[in-house]
Amino acid sequence: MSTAAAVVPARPVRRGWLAPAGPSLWVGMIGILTIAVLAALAPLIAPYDPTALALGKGLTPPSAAHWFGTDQLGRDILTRVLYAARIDLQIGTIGVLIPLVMGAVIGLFAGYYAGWPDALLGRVIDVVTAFPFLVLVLAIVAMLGPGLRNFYIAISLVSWVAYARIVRGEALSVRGRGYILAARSLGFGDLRIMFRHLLPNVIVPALVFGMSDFVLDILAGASLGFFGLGVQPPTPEWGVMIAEGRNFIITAPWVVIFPGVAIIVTSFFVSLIGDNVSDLVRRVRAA
Amino acid sequence: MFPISCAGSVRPNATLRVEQLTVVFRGAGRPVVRGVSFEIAPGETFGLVGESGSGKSLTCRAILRLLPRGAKAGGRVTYGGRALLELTNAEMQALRGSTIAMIFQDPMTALNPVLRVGDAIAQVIASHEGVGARASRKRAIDMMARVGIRDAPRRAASYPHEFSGGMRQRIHIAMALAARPTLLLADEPTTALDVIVQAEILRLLDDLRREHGMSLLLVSHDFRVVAGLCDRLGVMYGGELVEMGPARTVLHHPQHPYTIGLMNSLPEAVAGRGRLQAIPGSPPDPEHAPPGCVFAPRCALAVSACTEAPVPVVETSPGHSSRCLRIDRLGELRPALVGADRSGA
Amino acid sequence: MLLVAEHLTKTYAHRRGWSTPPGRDRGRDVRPALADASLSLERGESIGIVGESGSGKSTLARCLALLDRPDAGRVLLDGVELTRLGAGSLRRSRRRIQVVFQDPYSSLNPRLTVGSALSEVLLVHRLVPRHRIGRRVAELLDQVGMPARAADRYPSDFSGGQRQRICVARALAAEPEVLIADEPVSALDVSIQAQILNLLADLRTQLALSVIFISHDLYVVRYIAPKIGVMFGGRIVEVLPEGVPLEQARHPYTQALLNSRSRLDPGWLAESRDLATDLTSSLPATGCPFRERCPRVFAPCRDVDPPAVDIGHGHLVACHYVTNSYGGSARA
Repeated sequence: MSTAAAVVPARPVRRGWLAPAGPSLWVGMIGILTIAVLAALAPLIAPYDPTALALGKGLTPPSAAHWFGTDQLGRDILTRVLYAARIDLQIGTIGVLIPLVMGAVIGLFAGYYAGWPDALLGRVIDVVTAFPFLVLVLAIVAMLGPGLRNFYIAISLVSWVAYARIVRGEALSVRGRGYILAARSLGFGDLRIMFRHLLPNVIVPALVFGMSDFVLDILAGASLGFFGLGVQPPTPEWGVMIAEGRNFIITAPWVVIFPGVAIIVTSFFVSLIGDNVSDLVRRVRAA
Repeated sequence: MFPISCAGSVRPNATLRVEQLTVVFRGAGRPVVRGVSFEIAPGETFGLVGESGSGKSLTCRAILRLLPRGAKAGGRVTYGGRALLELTNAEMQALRGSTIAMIFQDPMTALNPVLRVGDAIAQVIASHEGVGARASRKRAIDMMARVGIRDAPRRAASYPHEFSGGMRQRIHIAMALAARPTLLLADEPTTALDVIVQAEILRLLDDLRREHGMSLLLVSHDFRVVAGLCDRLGVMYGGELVEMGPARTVLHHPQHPYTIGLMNSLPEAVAGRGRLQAIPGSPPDPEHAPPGCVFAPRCALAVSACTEAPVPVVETSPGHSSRCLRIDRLGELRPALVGADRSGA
Repeated sequence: MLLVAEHLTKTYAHRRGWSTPPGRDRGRDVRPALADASLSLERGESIGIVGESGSGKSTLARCLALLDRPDAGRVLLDGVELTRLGAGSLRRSRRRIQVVFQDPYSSLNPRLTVGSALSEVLLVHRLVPRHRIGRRVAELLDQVGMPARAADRYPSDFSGGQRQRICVARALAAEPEVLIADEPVSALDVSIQAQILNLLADLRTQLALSVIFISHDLYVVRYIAPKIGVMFGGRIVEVLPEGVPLEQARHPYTQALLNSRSRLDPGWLAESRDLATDLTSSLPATGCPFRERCPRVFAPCRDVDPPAVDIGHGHLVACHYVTNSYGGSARA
């Protein structure tokens, strides 16, 4: 057959989601993994029962017996922080996953077909984003009643819009690319093109956004806890712990410091991962 | 506000001399332009031909010191006796546009989209020739008419996006020539244009060149384009000048395997008989080029001596030189395009 | 007849502001991108389409491949009217007309390995039993001159010429009868173009493919296909069948093209004559699209779009001047 097509590179270039990145990616991933492991093992490693009251020992400062001190009801804060990690990681994960999937699918359809589906989606996005995020979530939870399950419903109903907008934007620009046209000319069905060809190439910015959304969801949970509409006592949750302890900020600061630090540390690790993913997007785009 | 240049400091019959020009990118491997030497006599047209990675565009830009960030030029470039690489930024600035001008493949690199074209051209005139606003406007309109824009007085008030590609290129040329430079560098000026428009732009460049007594350096990837216009040709590959000589002899009696291979691979070469003779492999990345002859990996005549050391320039006939150790064996490549006019083939 | 296109017309609507009714462009009618284009190909016959940008050649390619639905006209493949098919049957028929696009850099999904991209075609159209897919992929790669190892690599590991070969392999995977190549070598270096042209010419003979080769480069078109169609302003203005050399072209635009084309002969510029100039930015709304640049323009050109007329042996010309000089008797 015709003249040689020249040498195929011998060394395969590293592909995949974990392209060589700086140490910060590893720090982030190990950090989150550590927190997740600690949360999972909470029943085994926590020194006390998270709901055990000891009214006589309320507001004791950190000591050998209670590393993080006790809260106003005498409950061990370290234990509660560990147990709360399970709830908060769950809030962050589910609060991102459900809207991500919903929004990505809707955005994908809208971006691929353009025309009226896209116009319709555009109007829906406009309406939802006209309301401040938290106000809307609060309103929905207030209607449905407090509790974690209703919180998830509310977050999903409000958050999906952001993901849809991101994915739709990317899809609108990628749908004109050569390989999408080629896929059509090869006789591939719309669904196949959308999910196998379009989706992998448009999803990454949504994932990056998901990282920061993770943190926002935890904070949203905390805000709801503040109003008593979130996780119900006695279940521990970092945000609720801070909200409940707000009266003791001066007198017994450890009640709010430790759950606060937990939120900060978790957010930090997540944001490290997010930074690296967005770096990856940039590098992939440039290629 | 507009500095007055010293356009008169270079005589119109100046020669451009490029000696051992190199361009290196900071932190990179080998220079992407290596040891390029050529001359352009006053009023002469010189064509620089090459594919991507050949370094032809960088060579062109190095003359005007318009290299991208991180690139450094070495060697010696003189024009009318002045050493261009050693001038200060201000002196170079004064030369650009007034003495040496450049036109690009995409006219939008030169045309400010928010400026009316008449104003854009007038600015060039005013800044380099110290002429007043009304006079420069009039000259701008004259220039537009000269490059073939119909109804120039009215069209001078239009914006670049209101013109087609070919007309924008004409306006670009008008801007470049407005201050009457004596040397014009043209980097792929017709590549983005259609066939008929291409011929017109080339014709325009040729006419203007004669009128103004300019020298012209025409950079292109297309042999056919430079064939029409150029007195002398240089062929670049992988950062080096591999062959150079009068256009007629380079086209009809090429003396380098790459030139021969390139011409053999053009569809005219077979004229309906059999397959094209393609050059195997792909053009190299000049930063990672091997020592020795840069074309050796793709050359059918290569021997071990070709890869060991840089190949010296050999003069094969007066004014015609080639960088090849195997010139005596070129006949084996059966150049298919020697001789006759190809226009009917 | 394998492929027949009849009177294809396509207009792209420009989205003007709210106040501009569709079809109007600042008070002038929008010129269709493709107007009344017809062509026919026997099995195994190839045709080259020459045109500059804006001539409608890419629109023609897209309509022939049914990537865009023409506003009028029909496309028939082996007697089946593709323009009438519903989405499902159309998708299945697509296999038979494949396209190789101009830009090899964006035509391949960057996230799929070469092997995945090729096997996907085989899977979707169920062309090969699953256990034979690997072997077929290797065969396809070999057919386009790529090593079998390429199947595990991603497109970004390859050069432009190599990527274009992969695109050709992907098109061949569908086992098409018609291959439309839309400027397949324009984005490649000159020394690589010949490799791809040779490949296409070889495949055309080996697989008895009908190739529709579209380019702005006259030389390249002539190398690939003996029959040539010339497009201007959305119309096919001339068709030169096999046996009629380019030099016998009759349409003023084709002649201008021949005269203006750059060639390897030093001094061609001085010899070429000014037959047409491009001093206008847009095409006239009525009559012959070439009339504002044509040296032969006369009265009928302004109002009536010249029809394509056979002036002998399948040589079609759409020009009042040419057909009038034949006294109209060529309409036989």
